[in-house]
Amino acid sequence: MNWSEKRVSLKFQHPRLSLGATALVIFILTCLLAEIVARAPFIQAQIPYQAYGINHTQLELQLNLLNKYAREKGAPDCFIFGSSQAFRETDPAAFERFYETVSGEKVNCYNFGVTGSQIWSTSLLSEILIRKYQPRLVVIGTSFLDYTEGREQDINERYLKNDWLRYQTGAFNLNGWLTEHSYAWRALTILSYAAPYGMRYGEVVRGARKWDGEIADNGFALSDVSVNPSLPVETGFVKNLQKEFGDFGVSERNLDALEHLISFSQQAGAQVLIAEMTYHPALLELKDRHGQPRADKALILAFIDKVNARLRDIAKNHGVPFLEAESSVSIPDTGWYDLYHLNRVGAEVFSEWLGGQAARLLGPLPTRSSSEGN
Amino acid sequence: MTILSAKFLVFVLVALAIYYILPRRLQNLFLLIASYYYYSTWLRWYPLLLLAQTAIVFGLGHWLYRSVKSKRVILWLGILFNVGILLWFLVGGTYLKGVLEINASNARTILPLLVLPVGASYYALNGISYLIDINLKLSKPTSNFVDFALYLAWFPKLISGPLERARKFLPQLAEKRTVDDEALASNLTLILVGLFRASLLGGLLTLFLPAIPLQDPASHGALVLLWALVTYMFYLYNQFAGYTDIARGVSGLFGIQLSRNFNAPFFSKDVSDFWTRWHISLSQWLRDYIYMPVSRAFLRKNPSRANIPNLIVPPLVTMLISGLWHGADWNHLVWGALMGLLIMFENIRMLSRPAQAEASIPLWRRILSRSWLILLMAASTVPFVLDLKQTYVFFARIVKGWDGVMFDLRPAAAVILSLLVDWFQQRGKDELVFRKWPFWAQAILLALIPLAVIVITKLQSAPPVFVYP
Repeated sequence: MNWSEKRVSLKFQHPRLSLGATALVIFILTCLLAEIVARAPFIQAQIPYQAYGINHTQLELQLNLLNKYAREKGAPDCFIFGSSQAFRETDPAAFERFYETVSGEKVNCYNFGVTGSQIWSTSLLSEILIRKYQPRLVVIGTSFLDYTEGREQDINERYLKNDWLRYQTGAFNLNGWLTEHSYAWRALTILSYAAPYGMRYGEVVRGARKWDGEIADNGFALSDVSVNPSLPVETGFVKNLQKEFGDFGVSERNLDALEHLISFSQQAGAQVLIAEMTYHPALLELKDRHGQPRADKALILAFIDKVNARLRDIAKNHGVPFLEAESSVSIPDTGWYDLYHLNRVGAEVFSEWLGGQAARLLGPLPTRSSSEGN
Repeated sequence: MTILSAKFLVFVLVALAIYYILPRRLQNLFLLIASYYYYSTWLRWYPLLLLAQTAIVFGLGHWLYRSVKSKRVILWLGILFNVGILLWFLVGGTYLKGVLEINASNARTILPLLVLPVGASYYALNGISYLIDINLKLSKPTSNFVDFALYLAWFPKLISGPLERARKFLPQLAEKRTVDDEALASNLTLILVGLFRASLLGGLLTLFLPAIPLQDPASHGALVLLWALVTYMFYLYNQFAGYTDIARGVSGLFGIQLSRNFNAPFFSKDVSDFWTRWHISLSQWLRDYIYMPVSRAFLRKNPSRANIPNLIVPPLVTMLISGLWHGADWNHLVWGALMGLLIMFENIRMLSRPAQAEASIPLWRRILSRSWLILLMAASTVPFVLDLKQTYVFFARIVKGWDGVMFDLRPAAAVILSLLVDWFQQRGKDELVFRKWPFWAQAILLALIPLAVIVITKLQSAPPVFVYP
């Protein structure tokens, strides 16, 4: 058998290259036109925020606000990272004020607390922002809720699958690149958030509008909601203890993420402070909605002790201060958003205390060269 | 690895590159290995079942061909073997799933033995038709095991067809195959049309959530439900037809032609015509291996045109079997019976009212009858989509639920586009009629269809909104 003769063959004599080339030109021109249209003020006015494909409204609003902050005031000197506790409990303005009062040094802070996150996802986002903005101070707002195993997967999967985040961490991909650079692609991204609503874009806009006036320009939550902490409230994670705590194991993955975040921040030349976010003592009474103590209270208290001991060790090993939320910070009764989040009133008190403590514990911050953080 | 994925595109490109480099004697073997690899990406053990089934049918084919006295026994052995595998999964598997205690730890071991492997219902029918054709002396068994294995496993058609006959497929594997300018252009056009249907029209219809009212018929009015049904029907059509077009186009790039599976079904003049245009390869299989033998049995007794049992039994039996093939449960059986009854009524009606020439029917009547047919086919699809309890609720709402709530008109754009594509193909009597369009029109389509597919895919890609726990 003649091998080459018997081969299944391709016989192209007049391939329609001109058709392909023309189509390619039309394709590129259409993309360019879409980009121009997407950048038009009229279209931008219809878009509540630049979307990054995570479909986490508060997080994406934070990213938008941070871009605006950096454009208007320059890169922040200091970031407050963490979950909704950091978001609601740390007012950068109060922090800056007391930090300056004690140390005499003026800093610009941005609160990048993200609702629903744990320290693993905080660490991922923080790394991207530290690399981009080169802050001089990193405050990691954390608490035992960052180290429960039950909720670990909820948000992490969303982060892991996001192409823009992967692109930001150095894994090139087209979707991530387009999200970073193209207004048209980001417009399409926010339109895609309407898919679960049968393409009713109004629902997406309504979801975004719920945050109107809820986030300050420096990323802090502006809530005036107040609960009476003396009433038995089964709130947030207490409702879903099993889902939150799983088998009451401490998430090693999240502890590793904390260590990684500290090391990364230090390598980037920033001072680091680990700050335990505060919660109302009534939270640890762990009552159910009938006002009765929960059966698993001892397990939860032991879990908190275990987490705090590990945090102390980590802080010591990395030579960074760990500020435990003390009962000496007297949050007024009107300062509680719920049993483990503060409202504006409470946050101001807590942040002033935190700013003063940070200034005392950290000493002068490293200087930043003019090329950094832009 | 689904056909509408980037992984599949890479897989095809790599396979094409290797295929055209290899000498011919290795090419079919390579395609077989590629097909088995593709199948293994669905579930690792699937190729084992396919290989076992292939070996047994291959052996039975030769035994059947050589046998003189036991032909009937061997044929039924082969049919029962293939049907038995389907029954094991469709009936036995379903029953055992309800009886066994399946949990997270044993699910991975047990479920693959109980759930019908993707594509199994297709290669079972291929195996049956191969044996029947040998028995009827319509074809000879192939002596080339690789070619036969490739006939059952050929990856573009493995998961969703089209169903191919061995007597048409195997000669292609033996012949010299050439892919020239014309074949390349035709197959790429097929892929493009397929993408337009599956990704763009199917995707658009998915985005408007037509299935939502169907999931809960009790909460929706008649108008909303009817429209949901029609749009869902168009969604099914475009997904399936588009998928088949892509499969055919991909296969054509390897020089292997697959049969057309859809031909503008919503332009059919009646239900019988519909089934010659929808999932054509299955309809033809059912016609040749179920309908015709049953009908011949009746006609042998009474060859009259007005043989009433022959007008009733063959369509009913055929469509009941079609229903069972789609799903061995009561609702699919009811769907099959409904389809059979509709064809039966048409057959009986034809006795008194012979078919009119299309050209002699006024346009308005043609449009009306097509619309009625779409509605009728959509309504008959209810038990195909819903279980019997929900089917009852659905029809109860259709009768009593005229609440005046208007349906979502947006999916109409996709429905109209779908009908337009069919209309062009029907009018041009050519599914690749678009290749005859002016240069600029072709260039615009070639540019905008991939762009639209990218947009629709992007729109479907977002995770659900994060809700703070």
